Amino acid sequence: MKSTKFNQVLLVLSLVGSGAAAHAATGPVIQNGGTIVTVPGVGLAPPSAMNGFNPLLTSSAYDNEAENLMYQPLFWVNRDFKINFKLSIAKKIVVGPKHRSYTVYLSPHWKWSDGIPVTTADVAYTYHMLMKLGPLWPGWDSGGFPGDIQSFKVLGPYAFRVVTTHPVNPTWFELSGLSDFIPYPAHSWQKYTVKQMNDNMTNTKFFSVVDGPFRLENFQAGRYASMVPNPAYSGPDKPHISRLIFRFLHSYASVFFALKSGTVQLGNLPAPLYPARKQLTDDRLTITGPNWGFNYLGFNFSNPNIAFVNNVLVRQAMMHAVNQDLMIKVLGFGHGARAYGLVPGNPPVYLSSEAKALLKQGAYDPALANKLLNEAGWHRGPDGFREKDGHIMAFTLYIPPSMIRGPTLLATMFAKVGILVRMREMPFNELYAKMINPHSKNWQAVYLAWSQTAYPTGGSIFKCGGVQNSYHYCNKKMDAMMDKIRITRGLDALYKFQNYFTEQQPVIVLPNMKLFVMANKNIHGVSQAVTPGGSFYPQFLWISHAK
Amino acid sequence: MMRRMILHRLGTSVLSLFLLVTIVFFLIHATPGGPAYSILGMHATPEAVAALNKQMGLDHPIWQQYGIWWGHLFEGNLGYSFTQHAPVASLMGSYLANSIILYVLATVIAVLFSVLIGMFQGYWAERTPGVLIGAGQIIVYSIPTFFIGVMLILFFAIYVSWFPPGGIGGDQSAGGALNIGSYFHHMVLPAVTIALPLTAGLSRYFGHQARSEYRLDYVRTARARGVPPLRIAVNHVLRNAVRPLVTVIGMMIPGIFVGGILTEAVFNYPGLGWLLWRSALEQDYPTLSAIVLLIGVLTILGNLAADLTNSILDVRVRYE
Repeated sequence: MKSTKFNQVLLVLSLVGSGAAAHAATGPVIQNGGTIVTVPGVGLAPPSAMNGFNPLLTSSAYDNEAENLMYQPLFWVNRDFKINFKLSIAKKIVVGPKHRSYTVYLSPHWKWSDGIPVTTADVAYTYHMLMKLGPLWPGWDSGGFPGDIQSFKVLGPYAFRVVTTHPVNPTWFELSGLSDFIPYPAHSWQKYTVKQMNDNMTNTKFFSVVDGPFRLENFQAGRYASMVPNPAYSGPDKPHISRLIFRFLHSYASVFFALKSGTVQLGNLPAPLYPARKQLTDDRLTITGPNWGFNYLGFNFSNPNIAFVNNVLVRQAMMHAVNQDLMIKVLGFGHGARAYGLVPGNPPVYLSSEAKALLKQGAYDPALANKLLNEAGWHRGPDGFREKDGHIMAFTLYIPPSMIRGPTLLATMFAKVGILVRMREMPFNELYAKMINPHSKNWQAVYLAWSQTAYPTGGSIFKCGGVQNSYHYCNKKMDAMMDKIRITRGLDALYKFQNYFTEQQPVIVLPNMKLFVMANKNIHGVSQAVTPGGSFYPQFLWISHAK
Repeated sequence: MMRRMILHRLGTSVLSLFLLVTIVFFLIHATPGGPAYSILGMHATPEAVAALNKQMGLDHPIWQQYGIWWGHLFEGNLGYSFTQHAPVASLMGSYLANSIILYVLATVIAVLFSVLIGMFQGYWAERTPGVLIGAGQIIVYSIPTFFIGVMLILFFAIYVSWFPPGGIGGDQSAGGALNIGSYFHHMVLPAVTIALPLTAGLSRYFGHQARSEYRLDYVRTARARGVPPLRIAVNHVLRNAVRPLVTVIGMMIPGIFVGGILTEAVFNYPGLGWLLWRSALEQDYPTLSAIVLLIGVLTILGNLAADLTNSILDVRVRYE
């Protein structure tokens, strides 16, 4: 009897077990192999081409996308902006008690594709190259590099120490400054001059020594770059696909057509074409973002013709005049997020409680905007636009090509509260040249965006005399708050700064739209591969044979 | 006399080229910005721009840059593209080859269809078919090239999937090995896009020529003698009407390049037009100057070749 009952239990268990196994067998099983064709900038930016692969010499986000796949970062930062030491070249950081000494220990298991270990010699090479390049290197004067660095010393093959000139916020310094010390293959590159490196920016042989999950296989200028898995990759996230091809397409329409015809299997669906997404019947939509940055309306505070922007009441009024939900509805088809400060909200790891509350509540209040403008002494004239001392509250807004929709919405919203906006479209180079010319007082306003670093302080963008402060904005109190972030541990200083920034609106922060990524239905892992930080991790992509 | 004509034409051409390149050189340098902004993007600071300009030799006075450029040109050096990270000569080589093949294909298509349509139009001049052909020519000629391209992509690449929507093909499998069939398969739609307005214009011109020939006495005589219409058309009208076409094609070379720029942008076709467009956007001065120079040279040589061919084909044509 007992044995019969026992056998019955066994039978039930075996049936449950086989059912469970059957259930597991019908779930997705990662398969290896296959080629994915995509475009540069997926999940990040409009399509464009890659023009170079040397991370010391390029600053384009598209080039960085490929470089990040070839060279493993010193600190691999995950979506919550924490360091994942399993995927980092570094295994540990020891911070001195006064927050001036940073000793980084490298994991000895990382190797270059030619078998040579990744060591502090490679980190030292990077450090010395960055010092040599100076302002030519895009990260110069940000994250405390080089201004806050007193010394760099190699302690051994797997340890180095950086000492700062004064105590710094460890999280800020690790994410914004130390993270730049990505090891590059010293034994392969140190024999080349900078000019020779420039001459070999697209030479696949030059980039044959890598330590990242992919290596560059082929490059054809204006056409494509292909990458294949690095067989000697030491990390745990080995690629599943056999080949990744970046096709260089230059317009939203061409990306759409390529997705529709299957020429490209993974790419951004441009926001204006979101209503046409159902035509892409072989693709699946993934909505990602918003990206780690902020869109803004920025002013030239040194232009006497728009002196009204120096009044904080006017800037606050502008913030309250913008119906961000409407902008999200029109520009992002309902997929976007409000933003009132320079600290992005996706993920909300750095947001203060006040910022979270404001994002939830919204700031759109045209009645309040009108009240603030009246308080500032600007009253409606006969044509409805505000006037003061014979001047009309008006400015000319420079916009990059094909970005007319957002500014047009802004102009109508501002017109409702009595501010006149004129728009002028111009090529990005020309716009930016006018903007950053230190003697330029001519430009009035721009409609642009900034991407943020992993620790979003804004760098020198809003610092008095900062190298990136093209707006000529200067607020000593804000400067003091920014300085405090860099030296004080914890997030309190960042919270205080962002709250003050939101109150002051040195630029009028605008909503952030989400991005639409289309992928062929047999491609999986897209949500892991595309991150809000703008990173692209195709090693997480895989292709199934059944859709 | 012919030799004198050629030498004279070459002499005036060199002057034209010099003026063209000089004007373009100063115009593009006059625009605010520069390649440093394309390279640095949002990371551009005044210090970084200054450092990069120094590296690229753009911190010299404009006259000095101009002189240096001509000096390099006489040495056979077209300069270095800092935005594409390659010598301009090698960059242009690959893009030029793609464009030449595309434009030749488009021109061959245009000429063949122009002759065919023109002959029909000439034969049925002032009758309904001729009028309809004329109306069709005006309509097609009026449609912007980029619109033609987009419509062709929509129908032939998306709806019926007969052709790819863009690119150059032959490179997807691996290793950049060129598949000739795929290469030309990718070229069909861009070639037709360039050819359509060309055909509309050329066929209209040729139709007028054919109509004029059909009105001449020898054609009336041939008809009276009972010569079949097809033989009249091919042996008599076509041979006489086609001669001026050579000159017209030569004069259309700049138009082919212009149409090519838009077409290459629509189809993401990596040709010279696309390179010219990108160079203009990125203010890549060396590449832009070199391409303008090349287009000028090709235009002049094309016109010269057309005139020479015309004088060989038509003994009545003599240049002084």
